[in-house]
Parts: sequence; structure tokens; C-alpha cells
Amino acid sequence: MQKLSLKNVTLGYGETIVLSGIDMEILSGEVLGIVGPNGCGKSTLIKGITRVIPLKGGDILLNERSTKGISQNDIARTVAVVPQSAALPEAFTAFEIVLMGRTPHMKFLEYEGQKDVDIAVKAMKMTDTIHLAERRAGELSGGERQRLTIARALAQQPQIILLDEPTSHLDINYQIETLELISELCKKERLAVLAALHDLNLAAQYCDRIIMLNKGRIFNEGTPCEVVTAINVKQVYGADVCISSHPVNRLPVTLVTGSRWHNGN
Amino acid sequence: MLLVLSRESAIVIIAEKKIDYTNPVKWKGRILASILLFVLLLLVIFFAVSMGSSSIPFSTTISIILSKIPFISISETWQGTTETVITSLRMPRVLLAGLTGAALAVAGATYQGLFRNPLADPYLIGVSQGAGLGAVIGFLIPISSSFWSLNLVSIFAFIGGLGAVFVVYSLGKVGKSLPMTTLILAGVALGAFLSAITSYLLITSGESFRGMSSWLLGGFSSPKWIHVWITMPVIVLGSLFICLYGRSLNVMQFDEEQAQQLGINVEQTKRILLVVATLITAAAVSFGGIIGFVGIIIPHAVRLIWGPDFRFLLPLSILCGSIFLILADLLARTVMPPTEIPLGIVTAFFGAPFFLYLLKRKKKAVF
Repeated sequence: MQKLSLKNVTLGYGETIVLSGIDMEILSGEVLGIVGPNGCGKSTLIKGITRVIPLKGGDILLNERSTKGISQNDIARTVAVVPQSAALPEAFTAFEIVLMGRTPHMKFLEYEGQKDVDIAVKAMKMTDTIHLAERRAGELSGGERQRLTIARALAQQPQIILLDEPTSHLDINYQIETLELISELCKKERLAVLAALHDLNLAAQYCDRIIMLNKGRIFNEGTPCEVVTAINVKQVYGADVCISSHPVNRLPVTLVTGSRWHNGN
Repeated sequence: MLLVLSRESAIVIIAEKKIDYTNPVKWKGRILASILLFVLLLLVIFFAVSMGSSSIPFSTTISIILSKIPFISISETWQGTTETVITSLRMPRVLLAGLTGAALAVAGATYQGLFRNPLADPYLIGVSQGAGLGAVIGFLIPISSSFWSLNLVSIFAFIGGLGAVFVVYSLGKVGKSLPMTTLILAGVALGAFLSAITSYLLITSGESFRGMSSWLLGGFSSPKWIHVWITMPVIVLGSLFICLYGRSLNVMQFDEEQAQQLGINVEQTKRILLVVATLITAAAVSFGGIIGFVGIIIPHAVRLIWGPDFRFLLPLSILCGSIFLILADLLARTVMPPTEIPLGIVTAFFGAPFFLYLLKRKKKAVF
């Protein structure tokens, strides 16, 4: 049972505190969604978990073990990140980029062997990027790059995947495919998934549990039906929306109403 | 049924054929290239040693060099002066040029990788300006005595180069981390400041102006074996050490955040590579002067031919840098004897058209 737990975590940059008093658990086989307005600390949370920025307080436990003493490499072997807008080195081929996902598993001077190649090929097949293998990253579209970074994360063979807006550059088809893939992997490989999402509808459809952040604190936590409510959205985002329920699976659907229709025009 | 089956398998074959999974890193071709380049380097060394104002037959050169290797005895069929020309004049000069070329090329590749910037060269954060000022001060100090037959200019250039980078490093540091943009800005600003002082000293120097300005353009006009013995360990060990970090540099071509999330200790790697690359640059510059162009162009040319993988880019840059600078120095001393053309002029005049040719022919992403 893989588990990532945050205990009273405080994170920030320099003197500024972005997140404080964060307690959460990410369990294997579960997709945990993080939602909240721009600047509420979603990306900061992911940077903090992977120790890109230092902890200001509290502790992060990986399988009951504090991450304070362990190396960057040990974290990377367990936790993979799909960044928001991945800067990919343009001259490298797609295959070389996915193969770099094997970095934490290789020794200092070790070269990629057949096993690493097989893992990379499998990751590229899963993300429907194998036909791009020999193309240079600079020639790829935003959506292709996004899927490539997911393939790289899968090549890391992590137990925990953190996704920072994984669907932001994708059209609706790949949004669905990406989240389907991730939830399938989560159930099949028993991965623990944390996904920061903007789209409340996608979050409701694909997350088992949702945490809503507001002003650097956890505002609400629970099932999609408990968290995505008109009152919460109004309080956290300041937006007036209608929440309906999905005709097929009864999950909450956020509906936007343009103001020009309010007065019956 | 049969038709459908064969059509499907044909499609699969076409789809699979595109990618050679068994050789994803293309290491065989690149290792072969390294071996061939190493052989070429040895040939170029022999060639450059036999060429000069008095041309010595290739066979004689090889015999003389081989006779210096212990346990090999070759009967002397040549004149004593020929041997002196080869062993005490040309050999140290050629070796020094080779070492300098290797150092500048590998330091350039390292800086380009660390800063993720195709315009980076070994002089980006102040080594050259520091060394230039040091050298000019060395020229102006009237003491001509030397320490181990090292002249003051070289010693001051070395100290100046390292000192300038040390100051840039201390200024560019923010807390415990080392943001690359801050480092470049600090380097450019300090470089301008030091250049201003150097230029002022240069125009008010009077008699020594000629010596100073030709030093600043680079060259190996008075080579000594002691120079080789001092630079060789620093440059050889430093360059090989940098080569160990090929994969880390590959992963750092994503941004620093992603590199960290892939398990690279980014801050430590940056620090180690900056220190070593600066050290070998300073060692190279202190005897060769500020030779431009090698450090920026050789890594790009290698990248155009063999691809961006730093595990090959670094060693191939070492070999190509060496070969290129030995040949450039050969031109510098043979084109219009007895006058020597400053090496910086030769590297740019002959290297730039070659690079532009590569750039035009390959037409692929350089960086």
C-alpha cells in the first residue's frame, strides 16, 4: 500500500507563505483532485512534495518515512511529476526524452539497457506517442509534448504520480483520453495519483476525492458531490455558477450562465 | 482472409520499421566517431609538428618522436638542430594548442548546457575579462624575473580569470541557490567593468601595447614544456571529469525543476561543473591568451553532426576542439612567416565559414 502523507505542511518562497497547515493523504488506487482558484498554491504543493522548494514547516511522509533525510534520486524513483507546461529540449528526439525518465533508476555512469528501452516503448505506446519516437521535441505540438511528458513520467515507473494541470494544452478528446489513461493506471497498477485541475467538470468525473484549496489552506475535502457545490464555488472562486447533476452518473456538473441571459434577454 | 492478414502485418512492419529500438542511443556510431577522431588527432599532431618555416619530412618527425619514448631505440639519422626544432619548439606548441582547444571546447559545451543557452561560451561569466586584466597588469609590472620560467603575465592571467569568476559567483548567489540568469548578468556587468580598466591600461601603456594586444587575441608564440606540464593535468583531468556529468547535463536541458524531479541534484551539479569548467578555461587562457570562437563554435558543430546527447557531445568536443586549434595554430605560424597572425583571428576567419556551411547544410535544430 503506497501512501504519501502531508502533516501540517507549510510552503512558500522566501518570506512569503503560500500554503500553511496542509494535512492530506494520497493513497494507492485513488485519484485525488486538487482544485482552487489561480494562485491558491496547487503548483507550489507539487514543488513542495518533490522538494524543489524546501519545506517551511511540517513533514512529508513517503510510506510512513519522512522525506527529510532521503535523496532527490530516491524521491524521483517513487514520485513522478507531469509539469504544467513542460519545457522540452528541442533538439532531443521524443524517444530520448522518454528514455530520460529512466534517470533515477540508473547508476551514475550506467547506460540505458534493453530493459529501459522496453519500459520507454511501453510508456510511449500507452500514451499514443510511439509514432513520434524519432521526431525532435521542437517539432511537436503542445498536446504531443504534454503526452510525451506523461510518457516520461510513466517511464519513471513511479508509485505516485503528481500532475500539474495535465489537460491544459489538450483538446477535449485528449483531455478525456489522458484522464482515462491516468485513472486506468491508477486502478490497474495501484498508483497513487494527485492531479491539480482547473476544470471542475473533469475533476468531478475522474477524481475519487477532491480537495479544494483557498488562500493557502484546505477549504473543503470530500467526494466530488460534497466539494463541488454552488456555495463552495461562490465562496472560493467568487463565481456564480449552477451545479447540476450528470444525466448518466449523477456526478456534479458545473454550468456557466452568461450574464446577458439573467434578465431574460 | 489471408489477404487481410498479410495487409495487417505489412502495416505493422511498416510502423515498427521506423524506429530502431535495439539501438536507441546510437552509441555504436558515436563511439566509432570518437575512435576515428582520436586517430585523426594523433595524425594532426604529427603533421603539425613536421610543418613550419623549415619543413621536416613526416618520417623523420615520427622517428624523432618515437625515439623519445622509453624502451624504443631508433638510430639517429637526423641533424641535432632538427631534433631541437621538433622537441623543444614545435612539440610543446602543438600540445599546448591541442590542450587549449580541448579545454575551451569542453568548457563551452558545459556552459551552453548549464545555461541552456546557445550563445554561452567559456568567457560568459568573466574568465576572459579577468584574465585579460591580469595579463595587462602582468605586462606593466617591470619585474621580468620569472618563477619556474613562468612569466608574470601567465600567473596574473590565471589569478585574474579565477578571481573574476569568484566575484561573479559571490555576487550572483541568491541565498543557497545559484540562479543562472543572475549569474550571467553579474558576469556581463563585471566583465564590462574589468574590460574598461583593461582598455584604459592598454591605451596608456605606450611601448608594451603591441605585446598586450596580441596576447589578448591569443596565440602560442613562446611555448615551453613547463607550460604543457602545468596545464596538462588540470585540463586532462578536468575535461574527463566533466565528461562524467553527461547524463546530468542531458536531464538539465529540461528546466531545473524537472531535472530535480527526475532525481538530479541540480544545485550541486551546477556548482561542480561551473568550478571545473572555469578552472580549465583559466588554465587554457593563462598560456594561450583569449582565443575566441573555439568555445562557442566547436560544441555547436559537434551537436550539428552527432546530435545533442551530452554523453557524446562532451568527449567529441574535446577531440574536435583539439584538432581545430592545432590546425588553426599551424596556419597562424605558417601563412606569412616570420610574422605570426594572432590565433583569435585565424580561428574566426577560417572557423566561421566552415560553421556557416554546416549550419546551412544540416538545417536542423541546433539547440
